[in-house]
Amino acid sequence: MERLKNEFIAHLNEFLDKAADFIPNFVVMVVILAAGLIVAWAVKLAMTRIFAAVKLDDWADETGISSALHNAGIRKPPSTFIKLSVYWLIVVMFFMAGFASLGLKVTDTLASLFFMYLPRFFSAVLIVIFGYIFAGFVSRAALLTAVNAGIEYSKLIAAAVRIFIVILVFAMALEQLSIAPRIVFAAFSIFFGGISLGLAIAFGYGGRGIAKKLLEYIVKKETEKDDINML
Amino acid sequence: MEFDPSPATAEAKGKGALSADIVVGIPSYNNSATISHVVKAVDAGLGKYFPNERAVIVNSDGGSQDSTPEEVIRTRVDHRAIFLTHRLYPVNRITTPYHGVPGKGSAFRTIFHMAAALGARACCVVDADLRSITPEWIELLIAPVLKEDYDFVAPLYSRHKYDGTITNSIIYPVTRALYGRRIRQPMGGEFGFSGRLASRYLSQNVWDSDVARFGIDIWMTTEAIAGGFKVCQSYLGAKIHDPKDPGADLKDMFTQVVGSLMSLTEKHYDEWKGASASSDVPTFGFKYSAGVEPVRVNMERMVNAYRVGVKNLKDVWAKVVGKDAIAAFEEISKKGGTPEFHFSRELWVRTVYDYLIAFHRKKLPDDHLLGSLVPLYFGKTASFFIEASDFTDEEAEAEVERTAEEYENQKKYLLERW
Repeated sequence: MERLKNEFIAHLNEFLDKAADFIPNFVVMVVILAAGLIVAWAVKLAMTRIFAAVKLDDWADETGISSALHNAGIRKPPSTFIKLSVYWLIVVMFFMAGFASLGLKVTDTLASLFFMYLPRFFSAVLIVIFGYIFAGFVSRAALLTAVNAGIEYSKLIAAAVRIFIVILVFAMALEQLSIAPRIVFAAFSIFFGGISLGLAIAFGYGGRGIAKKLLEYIVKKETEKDDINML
Repeated sequence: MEFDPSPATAEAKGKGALSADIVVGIPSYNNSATISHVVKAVDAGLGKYFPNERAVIVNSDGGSQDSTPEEVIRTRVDHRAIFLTHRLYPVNRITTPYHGVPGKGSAFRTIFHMAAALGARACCVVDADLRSITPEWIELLIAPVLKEDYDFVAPLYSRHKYDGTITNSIIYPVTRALYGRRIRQPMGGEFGFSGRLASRYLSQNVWDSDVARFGIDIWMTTEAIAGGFKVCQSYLGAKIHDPKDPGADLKDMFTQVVGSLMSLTEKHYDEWKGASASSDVPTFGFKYSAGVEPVRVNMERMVNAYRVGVKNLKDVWAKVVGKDAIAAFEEISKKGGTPEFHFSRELWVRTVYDYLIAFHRKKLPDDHLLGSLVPLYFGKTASFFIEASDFTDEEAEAEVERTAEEYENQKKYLLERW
């Protein structure tokens, strides 16, 4: 009975010692989290004012970034999207820092992995953002070139160009994130190989008539040019 | 102004042409079939109308592979056959390749350099592909500068009613409405200008832009007007020249010309914002009824270009014009190439002003913005051709004037949204 009592007291003391060690760390974690929320809120407030002053949403409308984001399924204005992204990024960073302060092996490993992964994450985000803007620009250029060449289904060409670039961008982003790079590479090769083969067969076999009409149109267009001097 | 030594200048000095009263520039590129006639006309014009002035003909060539420069030097003029007396000074001829961006503007830049280096009081430029140029053209382009103290002489031609559609529907009326001066052919191709204005042109850093290409003509005219120089125009008769290079892409040509107009509108806001209504500029020359060459028109191609635009570009247009305008474009498109296919001048003018505003506010990249205007321009042009099919040249000209008046009437719209 005495032995049982001693064992219990020893375990209780051990628990109290660990709790005494843990509680200050936990308090530190709570403080870090609270500080993170305050910093995130302050940064969000500052960004709200700066974005309003520089009219970020107007600029994004003019440059086509808004429509690129809209097409990507982001319905919020660009300024709100950036503010929320930065807000949650700061919260998550402080949360991970807070976790690390607990001094546990698991949280230490998790936090270091998280912070080591951050540069890759930012690179991937930048690739996606600029990729989308680039896709919008190139697809509109393709649309206008096709329209001014008199191609009936110019929108289809523009959409194909956009999809091609977006897929390329996502493949690059996944590569950057090191998410199954071999599978991504293989899937990408198979996908585009399939598209190229499909198009070759479609145009070469199924589209002989269309190709013939197209050639006739081009030849006819050359011979039926008017001789107006538009200048 | 410090002169940038160029091969052209070195050559001029080497030939002993250290100074000149008159410089006549001929930009060329593979024009061996026509340039001989142009050089003869210029030489005869200088001999007949300016026998006492020292003159130099400058051929600024873009690397012709058909012996165009050799033709310039080789061409001889039989002065006795056209009753010319001996000149006090011989007319020197210089042929030189130009440097920089390939295009007419770069060729002109070399001519401006030569004019500045030779201290010319009066200059003119004429295209190398002209078939209808006569010696009188040189008098009409140079005399207003030398004898009447004008700085800039624009050409005035008799043209086929279907010719010059970019000039008629955009360039002339916009220039007139903005700056208040009625210069009918602001990008005619032939111009006279003073040495003072040539120096002003040279001093501007525009030679890597569209001005170095097809934009040069409207740039020269606008800079002259906006710079407060004395401007006039001279009636030259009919302009008949070789067809443009069939390989030249209309979209590029349109983009360079209209893009230059829009850039100039942006640059000279302070000069045009206060101008209201418009006035004629002094016109020299004897106006007569000149026969013009018939013109083939491929209407189906134009209507189709417009229809394809309406089918595919509504999302792009929505960034530039209002919903009502897009609805109107669709309605017009439904009429095909029938007589009901009518693009009203009110809608057209509003559209062009919306594009000027969109250019100013950078709503789209310049190239995309201008590219999206091309199908609308085809629609307006096709509509004009259908409407003017039974018009005489005078009636067609009256329609151009009505369009120009509409631009003046709607200028307030542009100013309010600038």
